[in-house]
Amino acid sequence: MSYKLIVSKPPYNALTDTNIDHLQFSSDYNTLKYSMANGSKTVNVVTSASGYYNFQEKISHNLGYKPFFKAYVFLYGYTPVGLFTIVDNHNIHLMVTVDENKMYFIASGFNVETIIGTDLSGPYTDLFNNYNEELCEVYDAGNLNQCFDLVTAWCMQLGFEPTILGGVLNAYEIYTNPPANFLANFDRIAYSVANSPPQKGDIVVFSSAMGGGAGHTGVATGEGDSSSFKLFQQNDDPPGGNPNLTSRSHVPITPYPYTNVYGWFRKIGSGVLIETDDINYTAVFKYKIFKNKLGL
Amino acid sequence: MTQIIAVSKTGKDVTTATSPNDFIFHSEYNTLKIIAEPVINKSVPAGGNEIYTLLAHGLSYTPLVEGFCKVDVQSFAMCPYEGIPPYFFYFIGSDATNIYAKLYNGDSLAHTFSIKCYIFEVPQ
Repeated sequence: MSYKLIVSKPPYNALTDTNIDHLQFSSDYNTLKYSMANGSKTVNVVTSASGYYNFQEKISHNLGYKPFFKAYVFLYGYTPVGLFTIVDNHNIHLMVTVDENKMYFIASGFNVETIIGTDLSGPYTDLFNNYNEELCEVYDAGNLNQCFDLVTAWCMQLGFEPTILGGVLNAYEIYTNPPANFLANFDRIAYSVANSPPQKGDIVVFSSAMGGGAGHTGVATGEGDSSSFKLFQQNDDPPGGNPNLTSRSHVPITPYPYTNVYGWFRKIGSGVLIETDDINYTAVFKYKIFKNKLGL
Repeated sequence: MTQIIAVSKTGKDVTTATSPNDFIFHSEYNTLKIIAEPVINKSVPAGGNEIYTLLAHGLSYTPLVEGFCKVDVQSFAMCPYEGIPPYFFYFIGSDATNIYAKLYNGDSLAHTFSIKCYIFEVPQ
């Protein structure tokens, strides 16, 4: 014989009533069992790095199984309605998970980069697709496939005449003696640690210490740091590269150091100045852990 | 005289306590009864992102439901509204007939999402 404990609501009869809505408690039904484990956990998010971020805090519940839980989160400016995602360009996700021994409080999202001005990514991609590992010849047929040709092709990609660098004999002279029309359309930026790396689309110019006295030039890919950078260029290949590509347009595997770099030219109004947001917020998670096993 | 059954929390006097929070059980307060708590396994194809029917609840009313989800390749369980890329357990809900969940599998392979459903009484 099995025994039951049933407590009915007034005025119902616990001995005869079977309607669950008439019962305050019935041992036929499971209930959520509170544990004393409740509290709050704060996750501080501070990052200026671009891209995906994920900050976590955790507590130990030590139940040995995944428990039922409820959680909600306080975030300044938002009503605490459980856990949530803020669907905007930062896509903040505030979430809680459990395993057999711990509860995890997670704040993640994206730190977006903002491009100020006209984005040169499209023209750069077109240039790359047109000439990567190809011979580029657009200017001065008496000197085939020079670094100068790819840079001129880039200027043409940006809408300028092929003669915009006309009169410049050696690559290094782009920096030391630029034509007036070129200088009217491009900002000249001297190399410095603070200015580096050059941004995507910048025309980088090396001194006469390279290229057998002629210097060298190419189009920055935007990749790099204060020690080295990558360059889409023609007619050079640093050590470690593919000698079969030396005369062809390509991005050498080995980044260029800043040795012998005069500086670079940036198209006026171009959009390669990138700002990265500073992400700074505090999410306060409130939680309550129950004894019920999820069984997952 | 009205008689009650009450069990107080440790440290609280069951004969004098008055706050509902001081009781483990009190017959004057209803309890949230769990009608059923099945685990439903749902295979979600790569890129799957839709509302899946988990089961027909067979009840005469629309029940309150809660759920937790574990993806086969993950060691933890997550509550609704969230997930960790590339898997999301957006919500669990019900209507007069079924229990539903919106699941997202952003992986390139199909995965099994195991959802523990808590189907509650809804006091009338």
